[in-house]
Amino acid sequence: MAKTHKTVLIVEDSPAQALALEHLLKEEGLQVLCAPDGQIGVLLAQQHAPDVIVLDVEMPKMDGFEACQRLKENAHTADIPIVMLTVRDDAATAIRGINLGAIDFIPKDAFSGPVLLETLRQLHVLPESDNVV
Amino acid sequence: MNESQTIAVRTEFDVFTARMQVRKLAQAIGFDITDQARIALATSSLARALRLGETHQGHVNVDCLGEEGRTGMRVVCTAVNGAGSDLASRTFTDTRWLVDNLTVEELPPNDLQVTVVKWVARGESQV
Repeated sequence: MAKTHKTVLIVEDSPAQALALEHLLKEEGLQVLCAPDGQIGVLLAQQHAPDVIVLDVEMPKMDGFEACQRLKENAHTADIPIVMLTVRDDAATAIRGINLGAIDFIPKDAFSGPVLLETLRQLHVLPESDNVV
Repeated sequence: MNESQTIAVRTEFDVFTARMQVRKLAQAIGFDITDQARIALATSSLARALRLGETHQGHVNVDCLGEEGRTGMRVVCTAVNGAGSDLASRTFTDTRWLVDNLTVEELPPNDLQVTVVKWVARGESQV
């Protein structure tokens, strides 16, 4: 797979889920940064200016909502698209995320991976594919 | 554009398929990415609320709408075989915030049908 040189920051406190997403994205040729909580996530975003941030909602120290708000308030990170990871299909969480500036939300289920890849294609972080599910 | 699709929902994977089909159509007719996410999430939230692919079986129908110079889409989630009495009291409050219109209808013999409509916002590209 050709390198795209695009970078995705995964902010997720579950090591297993972070590892699964990291593996998936690296397979697609993306560079991946990982942060275990919102506080470190905001710092890494300011330092590396990733192309997309994938942000879990429930995390220690700083949750996804607060992290999203801080990222949108900072001029260096305000324009970075944020995709939030929601538990199953929690519409209330998604609405709050949208109001804070997130552009998309991925339900945490068995199909998170393909949904995330589809979103990254739409954002042109990954090249378009004809094999969309 | 005059596309209509029906996805039978018997498993969790079918919910995922319906979500992705809704999203593809939403993208095709000109919804921005956030509205695509809203209508896709509304679809899977409804499917989960109706327990499609779990307790109940049913189907999701997706089609495009066009009237008075505006474009939109309609998603109809139907749970069959006893779902009506089981689920009719649900209000789907959260899902209502994601779409422009939501209606709930009990169908004989004992099915429940939830229809959502969302229009492309003025200023977004209308196809």
